Amino acid sequence: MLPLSELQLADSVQLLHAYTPELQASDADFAAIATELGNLPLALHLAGSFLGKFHRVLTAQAYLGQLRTADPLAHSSLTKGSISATAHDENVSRTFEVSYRNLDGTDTTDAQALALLARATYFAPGEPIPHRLLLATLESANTSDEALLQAESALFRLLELGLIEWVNEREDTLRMHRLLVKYLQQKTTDTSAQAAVEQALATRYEQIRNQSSPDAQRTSEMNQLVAHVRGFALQGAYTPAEIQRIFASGTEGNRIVALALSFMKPDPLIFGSILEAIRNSKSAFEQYHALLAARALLPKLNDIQKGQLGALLQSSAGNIRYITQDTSRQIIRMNILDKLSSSTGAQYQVPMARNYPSGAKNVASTSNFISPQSGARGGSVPPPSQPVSGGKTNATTMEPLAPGTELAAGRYTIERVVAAGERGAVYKARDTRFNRSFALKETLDEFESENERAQAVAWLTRETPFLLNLNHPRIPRVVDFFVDFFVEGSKLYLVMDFIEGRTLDEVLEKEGHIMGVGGARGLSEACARSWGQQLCNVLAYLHRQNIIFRELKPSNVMVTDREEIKLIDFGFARTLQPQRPSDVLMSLGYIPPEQLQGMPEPRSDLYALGATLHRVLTHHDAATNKPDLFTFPSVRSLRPDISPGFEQVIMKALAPLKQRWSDATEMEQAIIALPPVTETPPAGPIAGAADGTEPAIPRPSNPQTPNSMA
Amino acid sequence: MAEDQLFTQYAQGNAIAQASYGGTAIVNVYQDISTRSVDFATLATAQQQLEHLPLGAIPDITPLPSGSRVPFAPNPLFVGRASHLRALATMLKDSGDQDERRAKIAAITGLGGVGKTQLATEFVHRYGQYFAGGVFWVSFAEANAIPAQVAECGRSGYLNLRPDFHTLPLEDQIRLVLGAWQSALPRLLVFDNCEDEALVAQWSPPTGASCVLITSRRAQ
Repeated sequence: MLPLSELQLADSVQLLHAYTPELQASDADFAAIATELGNLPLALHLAGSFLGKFHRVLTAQAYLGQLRTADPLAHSSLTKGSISATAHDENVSRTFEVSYRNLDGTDTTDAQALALLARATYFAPGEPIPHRLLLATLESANTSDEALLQAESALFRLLELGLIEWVNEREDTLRMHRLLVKYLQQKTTDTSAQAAVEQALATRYEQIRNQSSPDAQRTSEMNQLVAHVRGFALQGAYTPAEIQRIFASGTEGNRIVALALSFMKPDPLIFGSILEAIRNSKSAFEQYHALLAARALLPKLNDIQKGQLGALLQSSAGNIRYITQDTSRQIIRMNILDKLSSSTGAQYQVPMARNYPSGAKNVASTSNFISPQSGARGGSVPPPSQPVSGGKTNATTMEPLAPGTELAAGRYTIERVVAAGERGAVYKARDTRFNRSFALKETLDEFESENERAQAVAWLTRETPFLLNLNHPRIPRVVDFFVDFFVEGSKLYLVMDFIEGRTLDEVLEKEGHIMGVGGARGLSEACARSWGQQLCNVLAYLHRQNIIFRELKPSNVMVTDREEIKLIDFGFARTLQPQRPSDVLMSLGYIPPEQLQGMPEPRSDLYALGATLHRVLTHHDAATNKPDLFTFPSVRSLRPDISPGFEQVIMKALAPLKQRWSDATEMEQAIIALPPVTETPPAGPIAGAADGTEPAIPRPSNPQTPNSMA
Repeated sequence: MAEDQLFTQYAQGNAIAQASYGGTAIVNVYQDISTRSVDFATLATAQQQLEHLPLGAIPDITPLPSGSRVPFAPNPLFVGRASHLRALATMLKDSGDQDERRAKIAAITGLGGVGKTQLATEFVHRYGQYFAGGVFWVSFAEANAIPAQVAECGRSGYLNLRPDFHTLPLEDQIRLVLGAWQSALPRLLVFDNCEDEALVAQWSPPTGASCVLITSRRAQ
């Protein structure tokens, strides 16, 4: 049994390009179209044919606009097909209809299956739905064990008909294709579905809250549930009055639903309910989401309401006094007061807990807390009771995800953390559907309003396909991406090939045992040549695409067991995030002068490659270069065993811009043209000095490095 | 003797030649027209060919073995699905239960429009070359249309089971094709759009070296 899902985004984009060679459309436009169509091959095939046929009068963007403004299934591109590659129906709706009409409303099981379908359309389209949560939306399923079995039978019917599918092999999460959701929204006449889903979400919250599982696990489950409520908020139709009704309907679960709805659809009419939820929340979790809802509402509040909110947050009314007990609530409070200060001019003193700093080290190190008295710079912690002024507080603490954590609701499971930093991490994760490992690169992005969120999403859809489109054996393939809109930020996850191997840095530390002169040690010339040639090849590919890598250094190059080079951390920092000064500092020694002056060009990467090869052969620290940072000692002054030819290749890469290799291909050819590496074991410095037959310090071939041994 | 009478005699193969009035007639038998069994050497070559089916690298598109019946040409715009192609190859080549001489069955399942038939088509044109006995594609969308398609597999241009094949009753044609599918010669059968498990049981060969690839919306 081979379950087939929709195409991966990169493949979808490729397919659309294949259909429309005449159309000058960007990958980003096609990625947006493919996403709109849920990457469903039939829909992509029809859309591609349509665009190819009408390319003279229709642009990809215009088509995307048509898909978005109206019902995509009704668009003529998806309804008018007649001749098929597989002689199957060329109409997406009719294809769904074939399955749907098998359900007989007069049959008990089928009637329940239809009800389940109607309820499933209230979850975020295409996103995973927990199995038990979906069953719980059938009111009857909660009444008896027998009724639960009936609900399960109804679900089996839907699985049989291919109307819903398991997300993974564990079979605890389900998913419905987004176009199918659109189709079913038109078909269903079930008026009780929205209320049923709303109640199921509230009830499920209560269940999780009363579980005896560890706190961290419960919180994680509750957060996942809130994500479902947010998806529900986008699908359902709720007026502010209805949201107020839910606030008033009793349980904490109801209020959590109401708060998540408020977060997604902020409206000043709900302001009173949110204040009340902050003040009298029954749990830290509820208070946290009440604060989030308040913050989402900030731009819509008038000055009186802002004053009320500010006063409440500074007071110790009700359960406000417990806010300081956890970092996340405290941070949002500070964040709100900060915004209130800047928008109203009022000065708010932020109450601080004494234990706050230790609980929030990530925050302290990434934000600009400035204490006027001490003048301390970022990284220090304001003393308690000092007002915090200026600077955006970094509201989301960045802890790497623990192994076993599931992402994209069960599609990927974290196996381990590969590397972690302040604003993201790299994980090894398993795709649970195909049982295959990928690298997940996580990057944190914060936003503080719906508007910022919308901008972030637009930006991601614009920028990410560029990465999806890179295709070179020395670059890990980016196969997918998804965005986790949690709490008050988003985390972008790029799903990439997982590279088994070590960075050049690690290889150098572990295996760089060939001794040179003056403490120099490094790897063999044969290795360095092979890596250098492979890196030239991938740089040539990137430069042809008008991409400058900018960050070539040993820690960004991986070597696999088969001695293959992979360029990692590709372009991401550059494309998707502005480069921060700290990044530049870290790479000093690998960056040529023109790039430091802000004018990088393709040859800047060749300099970095030269510096990298120099490093792996000599372990030389470029920070000690004299007379300036850009003057490297010649390779053979540190490693006399290296061939003069290879040394020249490296030193020419490290030369001033005009004397450098003109491009990566030229440098690659130069490496290929070198005479074979001689097999004689390298002369150690002691042996060389002892027999005196060979100068321990050969004459540097590069006249620019007279002080290299100083 | 008229042309078609001669042919009828020929076709039945065991004509009793009896002339009128007690006379005799000479009947020339031109050819043995029973279904030919596969000789050992051919079989060994064919099995070796299947052994070569690669599980890692994805083979290029090559012409199908002679006798194949596949209604769809490869789609030049097919993209992606490399891991799925490899998974199918693994499922059909060796599932470990070599002792049970049962047909190996793999099913591609998923939502309508997700590309099940496209994937099967791509698989057939890339991996069909390793099934020396040929590839036979039958649409199961309409149960009533299955028998005629199965019968067609035995005709000239396809398996060409007997020179007189087209003259046999449909039931006999089907019986012969199903018999051929049960031979030890590796063949790949594709049951496209098969939503009924009973149909799989009815049409897949109970024995022999044929592999069956099913596309179905049903995940069960």
